[in-house]
Amino acid sequence: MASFTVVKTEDLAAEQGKGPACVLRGQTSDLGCLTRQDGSVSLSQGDTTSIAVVYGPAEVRINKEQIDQATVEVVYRPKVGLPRPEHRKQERVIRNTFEAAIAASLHPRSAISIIIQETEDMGSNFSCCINSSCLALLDAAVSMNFMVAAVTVALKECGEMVLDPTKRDETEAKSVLSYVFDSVNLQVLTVVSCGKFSRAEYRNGLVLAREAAKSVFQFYRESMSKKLLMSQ
Amino acid sequence: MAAPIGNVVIPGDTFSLLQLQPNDEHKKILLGPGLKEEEAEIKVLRPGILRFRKPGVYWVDCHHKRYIPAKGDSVIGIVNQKVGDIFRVDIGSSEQASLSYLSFEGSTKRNRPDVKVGDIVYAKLLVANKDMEPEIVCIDGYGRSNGMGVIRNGGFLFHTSLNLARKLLNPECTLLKSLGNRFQFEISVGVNGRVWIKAANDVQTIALVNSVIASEYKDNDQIKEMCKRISKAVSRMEVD
Amino acid sequence: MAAKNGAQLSKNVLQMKFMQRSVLRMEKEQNEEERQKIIDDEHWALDLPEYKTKESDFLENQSYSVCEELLFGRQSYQGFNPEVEKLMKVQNAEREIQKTEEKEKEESVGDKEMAQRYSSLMGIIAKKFSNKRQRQSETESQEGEEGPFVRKFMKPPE
Repeated sequence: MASFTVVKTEDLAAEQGKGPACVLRGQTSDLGCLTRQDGSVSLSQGDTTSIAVVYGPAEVRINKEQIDQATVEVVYRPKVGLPRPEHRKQERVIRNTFEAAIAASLHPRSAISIIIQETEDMGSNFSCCINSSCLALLDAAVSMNFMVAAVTVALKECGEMVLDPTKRDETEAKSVLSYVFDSVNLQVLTVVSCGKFSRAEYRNGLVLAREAAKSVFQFYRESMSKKLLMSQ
Repeated sequence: MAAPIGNVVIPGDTFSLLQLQPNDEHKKILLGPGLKEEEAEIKVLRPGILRFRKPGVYWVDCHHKRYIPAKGDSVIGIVNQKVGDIFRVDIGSSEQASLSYLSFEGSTKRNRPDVKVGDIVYAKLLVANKDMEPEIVCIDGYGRSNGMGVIRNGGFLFHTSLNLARKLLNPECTLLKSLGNRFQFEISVGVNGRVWIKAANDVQTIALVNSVIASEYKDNDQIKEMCKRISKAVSRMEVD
Repeated sequence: MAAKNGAQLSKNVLQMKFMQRSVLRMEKEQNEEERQKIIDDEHWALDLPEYKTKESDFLENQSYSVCEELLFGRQSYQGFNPEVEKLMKVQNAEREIQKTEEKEKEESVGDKEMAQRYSSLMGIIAKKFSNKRQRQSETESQEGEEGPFVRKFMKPPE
């Protein structure tokens, strides 16, 4: 219902004299794409797309019930086949990230479930998963202390850095780093890394990703404004 | 800078006391859903539109589908189970609400109310605490039903978003009034997003349900226009 | 009581036969005091400054019904359910009364405002009726209130 594209493509960056390596690919969100869920979103970052839905605060399974806070559950569904151990690991990372973001103490003895369906992985899939989950939580109006945004950076052998890499960039890179930031202080919440990198490279990647995270938060705000002001 | 009333706010936004409207009557400021006080600042927890009402009520009007119990809300529940002296009632929240058989008008230990599993009840939340099971009652403080209790005799129950339910009950919304001018019907709206409608016949009931669902993103003028169209269509169908 | 009266009776007097009852009474009082002291000592009390709960400027309420002043959820139109319609009428009337009352409150003049206005008005009217000389004397007396310079003895420096 409420889908729109942010004007932030390679053209805009080329104008400012930056290479396409330093900008995020165009983002498109479709909030409320499914009707039965409490919150749902289909998010594309370039060609990478995932659908995230949120239920909650809903009834919790008795063995997962926590007396003092809501239980956050994350389920990740790959595009083909059954979830493998690497997906389980990703679920766990995403869950830990969102446990910090969600104001879980406001809804004790309930469950907030996030289900992510990978629809197209064309690079930076982890970022897309985190960002779509966050938008789905916003769509469901779950209480949150802050929002989160993930940005992936790929380090090439030559030392060049690629922001929001494509699948090809990722395979060619010597390492891939994904940073997750909070919206209030822009501090790092989670880092997922793969491959070798030096301390300096980590820091440079962080600076680059932090700058890009701001535009992701801006995108969240624009998406929500579009959705909420539609009914007025 | 004043607080952005009427604008979209998202989690993580904060404002200080100074950004609020001057409160000359020295009354306390009431923070509604979606806002929280933290270290002399007001923090936004949910995305939505910031609203203000005199004298000092602030809240975030957000788009919800899941009901979170709040004390004093009037809700429509479905009786799910009967456990000893209480009924378990589904009100759409994360936990089922409890409803004592004594909290009906005129009920005593001897004289039990006629409530069966599967019945729809219109009730008020008496206890709504995040740490406790919600409790609903079908009587007010004076022991009168005041319109609450079991809703009987057919009708149609459907779910909407919580916004729509609130919109229907907003004094400024014209939908129910304009429908009331054209149809003979009864409606019960729970703020938990459940709406029950009963009209003279099925055609009218379906028309009313559809017009309620369609009104979610319409303003008052559009709603009036829609009501006109629907009443015409229904009268034509009834003639046939 | 004897101690309070200030005059302590001497030992010799107390030993006299007719004073025996007073002696008993005095002893009893003393015992009572001691016992009270023991009881007080048993209760622990921390000598802390009074704990003040910081009063918050905010009240929190999670109900939309309160914030948005929603109508009652059961409604009936054109006499479909007379019972509900009657309730609706009563509630609408109540709402109307509340609204007009609020409006009246806003428009009407409060007691305090009235009193203030009257008191200032009184001064003006009173001035109107007083003649010139009175007014003059009034201003003089006001000036006089500041007081003339009073000479004081100053100690000479040593």
